[in-house]
Amino acid sequence: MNETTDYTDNTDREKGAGRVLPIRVIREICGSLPLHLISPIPIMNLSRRDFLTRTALATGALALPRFAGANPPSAPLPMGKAEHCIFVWLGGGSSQIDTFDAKKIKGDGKKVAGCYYDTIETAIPGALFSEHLPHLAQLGEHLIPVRTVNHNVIDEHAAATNRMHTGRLPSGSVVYPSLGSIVAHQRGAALDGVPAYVVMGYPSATRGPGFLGPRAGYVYLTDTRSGPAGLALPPDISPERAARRRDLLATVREEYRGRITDPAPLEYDEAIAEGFRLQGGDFMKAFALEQEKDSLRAAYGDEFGQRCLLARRLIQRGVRFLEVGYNINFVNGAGWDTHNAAQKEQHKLIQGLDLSLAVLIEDLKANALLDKTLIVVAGEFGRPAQFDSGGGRGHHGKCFSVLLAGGGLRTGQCVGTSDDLAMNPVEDPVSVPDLFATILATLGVNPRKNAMAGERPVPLTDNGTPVAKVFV
Amino acid sequence: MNRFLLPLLALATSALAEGYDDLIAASHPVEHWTANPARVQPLLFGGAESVTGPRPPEFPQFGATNHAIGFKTAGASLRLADEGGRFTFRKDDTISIEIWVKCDGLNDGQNAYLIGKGRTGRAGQPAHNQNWGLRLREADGTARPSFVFRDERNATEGKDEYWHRWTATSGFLPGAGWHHVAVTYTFGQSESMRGWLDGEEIKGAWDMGGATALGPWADGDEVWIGTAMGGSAGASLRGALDAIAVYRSALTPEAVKARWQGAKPVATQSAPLPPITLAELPQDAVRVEIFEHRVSDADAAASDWAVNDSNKKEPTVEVSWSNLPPTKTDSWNEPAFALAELVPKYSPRGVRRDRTSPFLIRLAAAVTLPAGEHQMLIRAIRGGRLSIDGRVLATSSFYPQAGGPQLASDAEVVTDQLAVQLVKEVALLLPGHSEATATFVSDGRPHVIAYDLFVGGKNLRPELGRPSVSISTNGSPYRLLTADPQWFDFTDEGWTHFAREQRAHAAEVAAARRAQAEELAYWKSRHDLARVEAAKQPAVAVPAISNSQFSILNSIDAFIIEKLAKAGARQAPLADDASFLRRITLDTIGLVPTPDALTAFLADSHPDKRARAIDRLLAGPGWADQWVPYWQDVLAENPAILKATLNNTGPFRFFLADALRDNWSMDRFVTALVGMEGSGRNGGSAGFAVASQNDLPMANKAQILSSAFLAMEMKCARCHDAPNHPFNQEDLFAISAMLQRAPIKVPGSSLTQGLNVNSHVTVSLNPGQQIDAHFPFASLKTDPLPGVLRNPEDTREQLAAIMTDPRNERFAQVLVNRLWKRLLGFGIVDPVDDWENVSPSHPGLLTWLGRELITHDHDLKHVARLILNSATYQGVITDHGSRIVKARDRLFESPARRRLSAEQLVDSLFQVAGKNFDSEELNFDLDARRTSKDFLSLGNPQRAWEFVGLSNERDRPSLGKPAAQPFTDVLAGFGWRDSRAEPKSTREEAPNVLQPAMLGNGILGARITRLSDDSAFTALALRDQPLDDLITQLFQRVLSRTATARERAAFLAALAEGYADRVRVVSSSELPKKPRVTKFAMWSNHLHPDSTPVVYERERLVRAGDPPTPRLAAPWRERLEDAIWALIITPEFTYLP
Repeated sequence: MNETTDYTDNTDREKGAGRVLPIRVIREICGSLPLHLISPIPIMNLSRRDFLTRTALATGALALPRFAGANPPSAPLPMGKAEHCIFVWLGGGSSQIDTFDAKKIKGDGKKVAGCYYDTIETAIPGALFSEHLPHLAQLGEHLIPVRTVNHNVIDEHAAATNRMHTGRLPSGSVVYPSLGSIVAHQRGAALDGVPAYVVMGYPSATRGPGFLGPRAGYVYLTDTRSGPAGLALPPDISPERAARRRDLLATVREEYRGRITDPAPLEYDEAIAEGFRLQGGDFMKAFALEQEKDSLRAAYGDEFGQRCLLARRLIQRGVRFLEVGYNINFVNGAGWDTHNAAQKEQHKLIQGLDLSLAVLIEDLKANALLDKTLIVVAGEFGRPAQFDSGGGRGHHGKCFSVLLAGGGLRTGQCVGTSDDLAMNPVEDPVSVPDLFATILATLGVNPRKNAMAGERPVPLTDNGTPVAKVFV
Repeated sequence: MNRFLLPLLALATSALAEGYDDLIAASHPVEHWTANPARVQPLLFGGAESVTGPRPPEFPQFGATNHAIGFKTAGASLRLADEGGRFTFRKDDTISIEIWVKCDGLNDGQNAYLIGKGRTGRAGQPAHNQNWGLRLREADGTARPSFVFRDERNATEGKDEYWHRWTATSGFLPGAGWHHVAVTYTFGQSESMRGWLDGEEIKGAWDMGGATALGPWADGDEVWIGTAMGGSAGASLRGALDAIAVYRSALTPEAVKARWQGAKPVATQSAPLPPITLAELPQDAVRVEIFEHRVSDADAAASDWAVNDSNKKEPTVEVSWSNLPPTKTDSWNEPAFALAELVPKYSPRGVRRDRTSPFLIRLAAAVTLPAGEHQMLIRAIRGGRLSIDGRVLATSSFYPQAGGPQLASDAEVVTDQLAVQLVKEVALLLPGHSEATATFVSDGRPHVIAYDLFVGGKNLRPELGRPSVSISTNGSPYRLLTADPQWFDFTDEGWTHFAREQRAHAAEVAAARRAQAEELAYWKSRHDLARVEAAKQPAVAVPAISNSQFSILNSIDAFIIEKLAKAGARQAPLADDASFLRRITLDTIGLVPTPDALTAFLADSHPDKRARAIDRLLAGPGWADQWVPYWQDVLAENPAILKATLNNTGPFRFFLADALRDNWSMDRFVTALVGMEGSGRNGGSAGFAVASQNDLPMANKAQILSSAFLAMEMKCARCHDAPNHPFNQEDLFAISAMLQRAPIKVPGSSLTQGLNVNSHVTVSLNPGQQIDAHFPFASLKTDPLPGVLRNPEDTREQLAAIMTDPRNERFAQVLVNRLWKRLLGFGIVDPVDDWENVSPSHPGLLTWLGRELITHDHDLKHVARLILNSATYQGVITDHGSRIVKARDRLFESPARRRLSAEQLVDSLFQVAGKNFDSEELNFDLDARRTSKDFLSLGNPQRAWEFVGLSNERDRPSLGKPAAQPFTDVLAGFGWRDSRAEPKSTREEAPNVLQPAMLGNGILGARITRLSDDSAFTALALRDQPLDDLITQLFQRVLSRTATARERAAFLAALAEGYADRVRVVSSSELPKKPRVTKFAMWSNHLHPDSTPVVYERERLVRAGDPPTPRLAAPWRERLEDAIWALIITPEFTYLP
């Protein structure tokens, strides 16, 4: 790593956040990636052919009504062919009207409701972004702003976060798995020896596997520098010490194995061996971000950008689902939860999102990964066009935006239209189950399939139907 | 209305009162006012009226019928024009004011006007034209005389620098009778300021705008008495005034003293707490008393046990020294003027209750301090008040900071606690605490020292904090004030030591509170009844075994061997002593044995040493630590420390711990649980009643209870009729109605929607349908035995009685089967929570064990003792015994191999290393500024079950808990759940790659291996002994056995280099200190930009790990750390022997 540049130091954010790089420059930086870092992505297995067949049927079904409810449950489901998902989490709930569903009506931060910023045209017909998303606006051909996602939980972050992670209302008798766990459970990792599901953010039950059990769980990290909790070798352990540890352990393990006859401790013993393999293997190398070119690291930007870069590297090593948290709360005090004065600095968050995400898209493209990787940008809810007494925004769940990108979808279009203030769906509302069904279908997972909670079959989504028009 | 017109009053101003008027007249006032109706009547405004004034015998200088002017409502006042500029002062003019005042109470920080000129808020007058004024200013609970004026620059902007305020540094307690206040000041001469209270001169300071050489604002505005600022409530006095006088000359100290001459005020006139006498106080101890507001008769009555405190409204009483809670509800003794833990309040049935909020704690003792001067330091989180012999010495503020911004984004600043604390060399001042100092000059005789403090308050979580009084004599280091020679340094370490002792003591007192004779007598009668009923059942014959190749230690073995013999299978031989002790210690107290316990056990040659070890372990408090996590899982205890939402419950872990510490009979345990009594948020069984964001919490609870205690799995019936069980949705809802104590209307949201005709489940209920409370299963006796029901109408009690009825042996059998599975690895019936469609492996044994429970007071320890003493339990673990087979084919040749539970693993690791957890407090509301509805404190964990999900769904770095996170990571990795939204009887134990990796590479494992000065391994390594002995001790400590020859050789080889020179001589001052954390991130400041770096810094410290000891040479130290690492990573550590 370049000694003089600490990319994760957030004091850099000031410089990075407001920076506008021409897309051309981003492409140059991304395109000149050393070839050895572009690792192959596994070919689809047999069961994937199945999905292909059905996708062909679904293509024919495009003429059918597109939205939930209108699509009879017996109709063939559209299916995508994405292999990976990067789920960017805007914790706190980002403001749709200040980001991906910007409106010409401009608010004043006080009494007059509206967009807090100027709007800019995008490469997507009919879509306006706020002025702080200049890069993504130009990358519209790869994007699908879903502008009419809605649910009814707004009073409490944890509950809404749960809704947008599990796609369900909580139940007293079953703990539902998160999207990442569903995907991990259904598809496993794309390559052996890596976890299927990685979270870059704080661990929480909401991100967990629920009834699917620990094997559908995640590995997490809160800091790209220190790597995943429990897998990175502690910095004070030299190779010499590591070897001594392994030698002593080998003796004790062998003596123990010699004394017992039952299988459970032997499985644990095998897990120890696997751990050593994982530690020395390709997966952990993903965290060596310093292997990347300085110009690329710099282009990705701050800690969130470095997480995006890490996401790309993990995908190259076979991780199936990544949740990338972007809620650095000392940029504006509150992250995306822009009540009161937090609104004033919101543009810094938006600019950071714009730049890092744009670089990620270009970088994935340069590595021929964009079509295989679905990017989802979501938060627990949106925010109203009105302002609170402190000049910020409250919570709003009736209509908010989720951004989809890449994934081999029919990008360059919008889903859903909201009213003048982005407060209510006007056309094509998308329920949370429909959104989840769309994401799962994009990843080749049948959203109607059941998973077993003990002896009890539970459908992967709560009657969700994929939004057909996004499928090719 | 106006009682000034009463003729009696005219008499009052006659000769008797003239004595005092003469005193005033002798000082030549510009004007003076009493309740003389003729003079003041035209001046009265806003309901000012005549009230009783200071009178004999307390105030002999006044007449027997003396009256004063009362001010009860905001704006009540006397108002008069400044005719001729009599009340207008300029630079170099001298003003004196004196007033008799009775103040009924002040709000926090309030400035109540006694008298003032200007700042009336009248039309046409500037807002800040304070010519002069005398006020009472609230500070630390006292009313302090405060003189104020705006200077002659006549600035109309509201800047502090134009104000000049002198406030006394002491005052009187509002509500405590009449006081005399006087001030004198020559404008322009700041040193001329003098003040008196009750005839004595008092010190003060210019605490706003500073002293000034400028004169006052001078205009023609009015003089108002009793209020200002248009009569606003904040400016208005609540109380009475008398003998008010204004002078244009200086009052002499002699004159002021004369005013108070002969006064004998009743000090505690409106303080309702009883005065304390030396004689009543205990010897050599500090008495703790709890006073509460409005404890209703119903609450206090023994019959009212079923109250659920969480249903009560949030308290609405503000903390105030003038509104002391009058009802004493508890009292016990403690060693010092400090508390780390309170004895909880218990219902007559031994379940935790909430105290009213706020409540008051009074610590009192007869203390003899050596003659001379002593410095005292008081601390409390909600205001403390120190008094000696009834005289208040110091009070600390109710809130260390002003109310604070309410907007989330306007977070409070992050305070460096060390920087703000008054005395630097003592224990750290924790967030939210206030403090004050006082000087006490002792005459060497015993004195009554009392320390009063509040807990809770309006919309405030009742947080005890760390109240303390500490003392320093002649500059000696502060120590906690005690009544005897016992000594606790008031340092961070000293506090830790004190807290450990005091907690243990409080736990003893609490246990005594729970052991209520009436309750114990009731359960004794229930258990007598159970034995009578059990005797009526057909007896279970214990099989007679004649085959001598089997070892039979008790009847359990006979049942097992009977089936083994039939199957031609072999019984495993008994495990060796070391394995036995490790297994039994983990199974009873959840820890690996200490090296001392192991050595003693191995050396013991008594033939019954195993039985005695079992008895010893069962008798200790560790049983609760081993069982609380089990019931947390089975009963879905699921508290959230931040805004409970997703099916969260209250923290009824404390109820579980109490019941298990006391080893309550299981029928009592379940009855108290089903009753859902006491505190919902502070540890009663009422916490079980909560299921946030659930459309029908009681259906959830019915399902949990039926699977936990009847092994009836009704989960499916929550939303539709159970397809594979004989339960309809109606059955579950009927039980739910029993728990609800009312019929249940079926919510539409609880019915599965959109089922198609081919679905294999059916929904037989309709939305809105009403289901009555009744027990739906005819297979159980539903008519409780006579005398069992204490409140026959209560359907919760009925349900508990049916479940625990001795004739319904299902309950007892379910419990003994759960116990059996915990100890043997498989159940006699498995799964333990769902007995539908499974047959027991040993039906006779199951019945026999259940009968043992029923006939032995429902004491689960009794049955545990039987199992632990059996050869079946004590056998060597074999592959046969560990194999998964159908329940009915199970033979129990040996116990099955079990992995340490997540909690056992973490607790054992720390026991082995001899270290404390040092986790953060599991609490986001460190300063106790929020409601208990949104925030909980689950304290600083000492055992692993005390952890909780860290609730950072918000993903905010400033809400991170970096010291707790490694614990919850490891715990979760091994099957503990950070959210227990649903019940779980059996955790998944399949190994995964993350488990050893997390231990081996993670922060927690590094803490265990790191040889810091607080590590037991460091002490071991420093011993002067051959390396061979060290290796023996190492293996004993970690794996409870000696090393094999091969292991010994390998460890000798690894540790030999540098062993001889490992010890470095280091003076104690060179030992590294654990870094002191003095800044804290919490909810109130977590959105402040400085708060995230505070957490990051803490995270950095946690990552750096415990500082390594310099007493061992680093290269060798690392070798030993590596050796320890190998011993904790090996599967042997993680599996029971």
